[in-house]
Amino acid sequence: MPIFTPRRTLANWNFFRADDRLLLIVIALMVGICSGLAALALNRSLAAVLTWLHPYRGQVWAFVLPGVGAALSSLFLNKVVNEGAGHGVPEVVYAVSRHGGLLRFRSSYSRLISSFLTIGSGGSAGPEAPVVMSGAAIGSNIAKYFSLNDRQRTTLVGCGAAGAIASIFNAPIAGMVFAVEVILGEWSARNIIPIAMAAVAGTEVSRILQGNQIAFEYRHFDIHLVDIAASAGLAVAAALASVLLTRALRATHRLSGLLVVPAWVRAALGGCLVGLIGLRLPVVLGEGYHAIDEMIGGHFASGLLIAAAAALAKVLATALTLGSGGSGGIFAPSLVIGSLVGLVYHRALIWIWPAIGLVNEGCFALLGMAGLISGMLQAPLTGIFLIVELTGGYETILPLIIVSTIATTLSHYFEPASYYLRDLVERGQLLRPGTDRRVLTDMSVREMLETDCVGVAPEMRLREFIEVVKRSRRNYFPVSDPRSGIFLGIVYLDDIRPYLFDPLLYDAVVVGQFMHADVQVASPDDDLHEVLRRMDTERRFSMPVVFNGRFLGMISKATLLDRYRRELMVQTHWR
Amino acid sequence: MEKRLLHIHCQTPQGLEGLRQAAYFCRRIRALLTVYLPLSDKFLVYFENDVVQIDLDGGCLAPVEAARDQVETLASQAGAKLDFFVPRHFTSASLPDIPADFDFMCSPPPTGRRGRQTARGRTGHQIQRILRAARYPLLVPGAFHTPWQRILVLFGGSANAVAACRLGLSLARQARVPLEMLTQAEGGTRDEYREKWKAAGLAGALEDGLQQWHFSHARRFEESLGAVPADALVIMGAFDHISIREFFHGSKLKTVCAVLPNSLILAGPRGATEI
Repeated sequence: MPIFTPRRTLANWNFFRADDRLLLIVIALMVGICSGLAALALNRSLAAVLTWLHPYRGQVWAFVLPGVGAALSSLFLNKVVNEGAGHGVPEVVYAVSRHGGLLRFRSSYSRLISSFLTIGSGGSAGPEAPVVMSGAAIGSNIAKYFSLNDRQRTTLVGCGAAGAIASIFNAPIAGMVFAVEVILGEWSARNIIPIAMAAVAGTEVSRILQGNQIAFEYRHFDIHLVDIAASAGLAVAAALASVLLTRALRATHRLSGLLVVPAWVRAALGGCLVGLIGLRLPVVLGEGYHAIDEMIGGHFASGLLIAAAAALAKVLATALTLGSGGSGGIFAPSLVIGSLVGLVYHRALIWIWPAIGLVNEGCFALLGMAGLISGMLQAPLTGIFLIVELTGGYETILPLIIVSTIATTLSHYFEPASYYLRDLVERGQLLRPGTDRRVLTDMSVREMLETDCVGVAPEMRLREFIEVVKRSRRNYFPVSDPRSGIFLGIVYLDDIRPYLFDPLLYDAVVVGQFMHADVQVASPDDDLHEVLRRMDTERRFSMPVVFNGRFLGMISKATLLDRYRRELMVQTHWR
Repeated sequence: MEKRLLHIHCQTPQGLEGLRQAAYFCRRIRALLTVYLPLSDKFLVYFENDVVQIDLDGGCLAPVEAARDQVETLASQAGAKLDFFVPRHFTSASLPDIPADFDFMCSPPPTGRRGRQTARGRTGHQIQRILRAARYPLLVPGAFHTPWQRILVLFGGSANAVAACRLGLSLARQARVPLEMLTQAEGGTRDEYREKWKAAGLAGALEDGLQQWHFSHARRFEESLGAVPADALVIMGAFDHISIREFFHGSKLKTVCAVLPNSLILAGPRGATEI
């Protein structure tokens, strides 16, 4: 016998198992640091490559740069790491919803590299969603290393997302709120503490390595009642712009799918078109944070019409970049489009009513950003806190709240789910914690099987059947072919009531004559949600479960309710 | 409920050979052959604590109707009960999810030029990940389909080998074939190994069920494997050790794969199916 059995995982060490909550906080710090470093790496490399390519942007041939970058990005994702394209946030939410936050290790670096190629070459996309994907995958894989359970792993996925957002924007509160509001969809004390620690760690990594800078220079704005009133109109404009961007993204994705060419060629075509737009309107290229800074500072020189055209061009460029297969996220483009919408709205108001006395147009650019982010993500708190932290001032908090909440409400009216979640909602895969569907998903038909039913043959006479009924504790009796074992139907106790009091029929009637042959059945692999829906439609309290033609048992609402309660208690424990 | 074996269909000569062996295995142990006709060149299997991406060669993607016909023909020739698995959940449009609640899985066909050339390049990274994470054993088809008439367990005394023993006993009972065992002595005596049976609660079952015990004193493991009959289904535990040890001592699994042409059942560290 071996004298020394090595511990298989660190999680088995007593030191780590002393207190699960403490363990989670310590690991959350690790996740926050790692995801913060990943975010920073992408941010710094993007800054370097954009600076390096800047002198060439004016050349006519430069329109191919975004095409080359998008093609390389597509080839990297599809051929090198063999991972599906996209910004990845829906994949993270799906993993949290269905699989306890399990994410592939390759996701922790693949989107960083692919989005670096897309955005660095001038594609209109943002690095935030890729770093969220990366941070979430880092959290998931660290949880796997420590053999943590599903709930702890899910929390660490949120920690990764929070750390990444906190690091890339130097915005810890926005990171926390984004993780909870968009990724986890659950506010609970169990989640908040580790996520807060990860956000702090991610932010601190950013501050140590690149200084405590805010993304956009702080400006003081004097907000009056008229500005707050005007912000309601801006919210409508921002909501419409967010709906336009969402639909443009989906339309280009659908249209590019119709092209019968390899994925990298599609991405290259989309990138080249973006490059062509960029020759006339350079604001559409890359992340576009420089243009935002100009708008907030009130230095954006172009007139009203050019700004409006730039907003539309940015929508088109983002849709072409991401819809054709480029890699990146919608955060940064939303900020650019939002600030352009705010600017255009402000200038249009001044043009119509010169004496209105609004605050500086930079403030409306800020509010537009919050409106677009809130409309796209349908997450008002993320929009509010992100803008507050990006600009370092609280003066705009009241109009920010108004713009974010109205934009979220209006965009929800046009788009039933946010851009990130719409596919999941359409596929019925968005399972938020504590919801009915989530509880049902965590249970299976196999667990619910009641196997103490007594089977009967179709040739059995009523007299014998009554003997079976006497011995059974159940009100239903599956009928199967005695030779092949194939399920034929079911007999409910109520079915024999008319014959019970006529002994003459005892030897004249056989089971096959009164069984239900066209009964609805469930399969052990069916979703419980679907089984329950069928039981409701049929107004049945139980349903036979049949697999490969054979009866396995019954599933009943009584058992389901019992298990449902227990599962709900497990899922809501420690909230 | 009958046991289910998941087979990933691949419309290549190697893939069809694997299907024949999977169908034969299912018929012998009266399991349901569940075949997945791939929709894309990759899919994900979500285990309890890991998610494994299985990459397939483009050759595996055949027109579904043609593949379905071929699978049905081969399964009926082998006398196996057949079911097709259709994924219901997708991580992304081209990434279906395959559940991990099967009782056995037939190892996915090898990918890449090297994998195809060796035919039994079966212990690649993908298979290691599956074995480490799965709660079911993996059927690794041999180079050619040989109807097995006995089951042979490779027993070296480790925890995984004990699980393999348990699985061997169950499968032999289920398939009604004799059970044999091969042990390379490595300095130990038969009694020492018997003590391990006893500790695992297998002594009685093995004393009754074991037909032959090949106890080899050969210096090299390859030489010991010469005792494995050609018509045996070989069962062994796998990946019961950490990679560093594998680096220094070499892997017995790799040796088995390189030397034996037989079909293999590999039981990973997370246990083996109770039959």
